[in-house]
Amino acid sequence: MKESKDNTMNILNQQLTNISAENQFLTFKVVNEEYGVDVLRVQEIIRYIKPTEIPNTPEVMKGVINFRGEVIPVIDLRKKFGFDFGEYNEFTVIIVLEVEDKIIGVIVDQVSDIISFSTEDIQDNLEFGSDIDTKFIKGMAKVEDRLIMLLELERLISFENFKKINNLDTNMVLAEENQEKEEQDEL
Amino acid sequence: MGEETLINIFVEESEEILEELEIDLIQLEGNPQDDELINKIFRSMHTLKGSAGLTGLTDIADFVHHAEDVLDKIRNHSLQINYEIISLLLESRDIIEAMVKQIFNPEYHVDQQKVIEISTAFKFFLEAPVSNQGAKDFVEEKQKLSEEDSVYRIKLKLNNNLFETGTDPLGLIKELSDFCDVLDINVNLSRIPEIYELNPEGCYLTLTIFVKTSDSLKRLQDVFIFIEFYNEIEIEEVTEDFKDGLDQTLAEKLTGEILVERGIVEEEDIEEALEEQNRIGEILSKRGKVSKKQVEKVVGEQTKVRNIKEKSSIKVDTYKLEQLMNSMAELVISQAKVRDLVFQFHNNKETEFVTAFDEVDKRIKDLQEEIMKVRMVPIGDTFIRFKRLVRDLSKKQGKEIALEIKGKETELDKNIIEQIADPLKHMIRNSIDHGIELPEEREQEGKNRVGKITLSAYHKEGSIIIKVVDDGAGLDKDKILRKAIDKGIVNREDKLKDEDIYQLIFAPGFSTAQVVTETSGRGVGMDVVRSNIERLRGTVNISTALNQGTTFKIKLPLTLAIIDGMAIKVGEENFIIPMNAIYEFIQPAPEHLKTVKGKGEVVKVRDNYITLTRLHSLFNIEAKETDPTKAIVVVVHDEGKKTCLLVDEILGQQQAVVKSLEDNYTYVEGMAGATILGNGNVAMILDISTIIKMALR
Repeated sequence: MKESKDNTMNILNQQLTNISAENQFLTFKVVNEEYGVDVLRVQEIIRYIKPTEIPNTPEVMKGVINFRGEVIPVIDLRKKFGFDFGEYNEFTVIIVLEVEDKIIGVIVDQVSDIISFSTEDIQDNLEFGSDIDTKFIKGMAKVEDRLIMLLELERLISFENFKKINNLDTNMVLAEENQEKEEQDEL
Repeated sequence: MGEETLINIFVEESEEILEELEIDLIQLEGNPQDDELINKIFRSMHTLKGSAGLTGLTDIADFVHHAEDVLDKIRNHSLQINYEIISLLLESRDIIEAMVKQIFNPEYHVDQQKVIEISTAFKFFLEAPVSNQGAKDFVEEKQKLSEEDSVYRIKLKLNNNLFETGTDPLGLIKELSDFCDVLDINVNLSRIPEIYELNPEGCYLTLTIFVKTSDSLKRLQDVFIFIEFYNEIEIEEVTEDFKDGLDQTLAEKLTGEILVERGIVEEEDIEEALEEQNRIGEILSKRGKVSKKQVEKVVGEQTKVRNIKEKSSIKVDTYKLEQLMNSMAELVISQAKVRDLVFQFHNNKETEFVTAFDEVDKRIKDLQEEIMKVRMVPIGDTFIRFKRLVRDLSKKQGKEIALEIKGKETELDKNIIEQIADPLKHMIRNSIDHGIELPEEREQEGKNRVGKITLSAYHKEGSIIIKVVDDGAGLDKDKILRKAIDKGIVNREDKLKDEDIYQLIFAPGFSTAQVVTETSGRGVGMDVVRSNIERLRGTVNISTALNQGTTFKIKLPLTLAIIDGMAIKVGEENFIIPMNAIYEFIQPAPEHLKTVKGKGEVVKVRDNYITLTRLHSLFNIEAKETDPTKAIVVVVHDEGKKTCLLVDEILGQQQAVVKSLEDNYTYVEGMAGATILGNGNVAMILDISTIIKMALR
C-alpha cells in the first residue's frame, strides 16, 4: 500500500516538472471532498514531516518546515476548512505552493492526480449548500462522476490576516477566533 | 566601446558623484573655509561636465558648466560661500540628477523653469563684482598659499666651529621668520658623536628649514650671507610639491626618502639602515640618528596625505556579496550537520577527529567574521545626507534647526543601513514637523531660537543603537490618547501606560499633525517606520518630556545574517536564544522562588528578585519539566530589563543562520526568525526584547 502511495507522489512530481499548459489542476482530498489547485502554483509535493511549531499562532498554522533551505509555513487544510485535525498517516502530504510571492505548504489528506479541464468544464457561478465556506472556491469542475472544487489561493491564504492576528494583542486574537467560531457556528 | 555602454558608464558614474556631491556641499556649508573640500566639489563637477560632454549629453554638460564656473570662482576666493550659493549648488545638483535619471526614464520630469532660474542665478554670481576684501581675509585666515608665495627648502649643514664665530643658528631662523612663514624645521642629529668624543663647544647640527615667502630668493640668501663661506647651505624652491599646504609628494615616497628630504638624516644613514631590513624609522630611531618623535611626525604626515589621496579599494557588485553571504550561510548549516555527526559517532579514541573538527570550526568562524566585516560600512554618509532634509524642511516651515551628528564612524551591515535610512528620514521629519517649535514659540518658552536635532549611533551589547533626539515640544500624551480614541485605535476604557500611549503614534492611520504637510504625509509615515524596524529585527522606543523634547531610540542587530546562539529545549521544540541576550544560567534553590501576589513568580538571583517567565506558558506548549528547581533558568536581559526564562534543557552553543519568518509568512511576536539546524529541522530564534515585553504585560 505504502509503495503504491509513494509512486503516486513521485509520478505527480515528475509530471509537475513538465507542465506548462493552463487549466491543469493538481487534485487532492481533504476529508471526503476533492479539491484542485492550479499546477503552475505547485512547487513540489512532499511527504508529511512534522513542522516546528511557531508559538502563539492560530491553530491552522501548524508551524514551519525546511523546504530547500527556506523556512516555510505549513497550514492544515482540514482545520482551515473547519474540520477537526485528522491523523497524519502515510498518505498525508504537504503541497508546497506559491502564494503572493511567498512559499507556503498545505497539509492535505491525499493527492490524487493532475487533470486538465477545458474552460467549459469549470462552473464558476456557484450556489452552495451549507457545508462549506465558499469564499475559497473559484469554481467547480465535474469529471466523470467526480466533483472537484478549485481553490482560489489568494483567498484561501491571506497573509494580511495572519499579520493582523500575529501583530495584535491577545484580546484581538481571541476576538478574531471567536468571530471565526461564530462564523462556523452560523454555517 | 558602443554608445550604449558609454552612457551606462556615465549614468553609473554620475549617480555616485552626485551622491558624494550632496554630502560634500552640505559639509561645505558648515565648513566654508575648507579648500580641500572646495577642490573636491570642483573636481566632481568638472568630471561630470567632462564625461557628459564625452557621452554627447550636451545639455547636461552645458548646465554643469555654469556650476563649475561658480565653483572655480569660489576656489579662487573671489566669491564667498553663503547660504544662497549652497542652496543654488544643491538645487543644481538635483537638476543634474533629474537630467541623468531622464536618460533611461523618458517620463522622468525635469523642471525646465527651474533649469532656467538656476542658470540665471549662476550668471548673476559669475558677473558679480569680485569681493577682494573677503578674499583677502580668507587667505590670511587660512595661511594658505596664494599665487605669489613660494616654498623653499633650506638645508644648513653647520660647521663644527660655528659657535666660535659668534653665530647663533637660532638667530638665523628668527631672522627668516621676520619675512617668511616658517613651515617646518627638522634637525639631523646624526653628526652628534658619542659622548666621549663630544666637544661641548662644537656645533653638530644640520638643519632643514621649510619656509614660505612672497619675497625673492635673493632675500633668503642674504640671511645666510655671513656664514656661507664656512657652512654648506643649499636653498631649493619646492613650491610645486607643497600645494594645498601639505607635501603632495609624501604619498608616493618611502619614509626614508622623506627623512632625507626633510634633512632629518643623510642618505648614507638610510642605506646603512636598509641593510638591516627592518622598519627604517625604527632602526634610525634606535640608533639615535633620529628621535622617535621625528619619525612619527613624518610618518603621520605621510599617512595623512595617503589617506587624502584615496584609499585603495575595489568596487564589488552587492549581488556578489550577497552570494558570498549565502554560501557562507549554507556552509554554517552544513557545518552544524557535520558537528552533530562528529559528536554522535566519536568515542574517546578518536580525539584527533574532534580536534580536527574544532580547527575547522574555528576557521569557519574566522571566515564568517571576515565576510561580515566586508558588509559593514560606517553610517556617517547616511546621517550627513539628512542635513539636506533638515536644511530644506526647516527653511520651508520657517523653523531654525541645527542637526548634530554623533558616532558617524559606527559601522553596521550595509543591508541594514539601506533599510534604516527611510525610517530614520520619517522620524527626522516627524521631529521637524511636530517636535521643533517655531523660533518665536521657542523664545517664549525660554529656549534657544534654534532647535536641535541630534542623530547618534553607537554599539552596545552586540546591538546598534540609533537615536533621534529633538529638543522640541515633546509629545502631548492627552492629545495622542484623544486622537487614538477618536480614530478607534484604542477604547476609552483601556488603561494604558504612558509608554503605551506614546507607542500609539506608530499605529496605522495615526497622525497628530494639525496641518497635513507635504512631508508628514497622512500618517503613513510612522506605522511604516515601526514595521520597517521590526522587519530588521529591531525595536523602537520613545521617551519624551513636555517642552523638553522627544527621543526615538532604535535598537538593531549588528547583522541580519548569522548570530551566535544558545540552543535550548522546551518540551519537544528547540529554540535559539541569541548569546548577547543571555546573562547567566541558574538552577534556583527552592528557597529562592517566591510568588508575589498580582506580579507572578520571582527568582532570587543573588540579591535581586527577577520575574520568572515560564516559556512553556508564554508559548502555550507542553514542557517536560515545570519545576524551576529541576529545570534550568536562563537569565536574559535587554535594555536593562531582565527576566528568567524557564526552559527544560540547554543543548549547547551554535551559530544560527537567521531566516526571516516574513519571507514566507509574517512577523510573529517574540520571534526574531527561524534557523535550520544541523539535522535539517527548523528552530525558532527568540527575540528577547519582545519576550521581556510579553512577559511583563
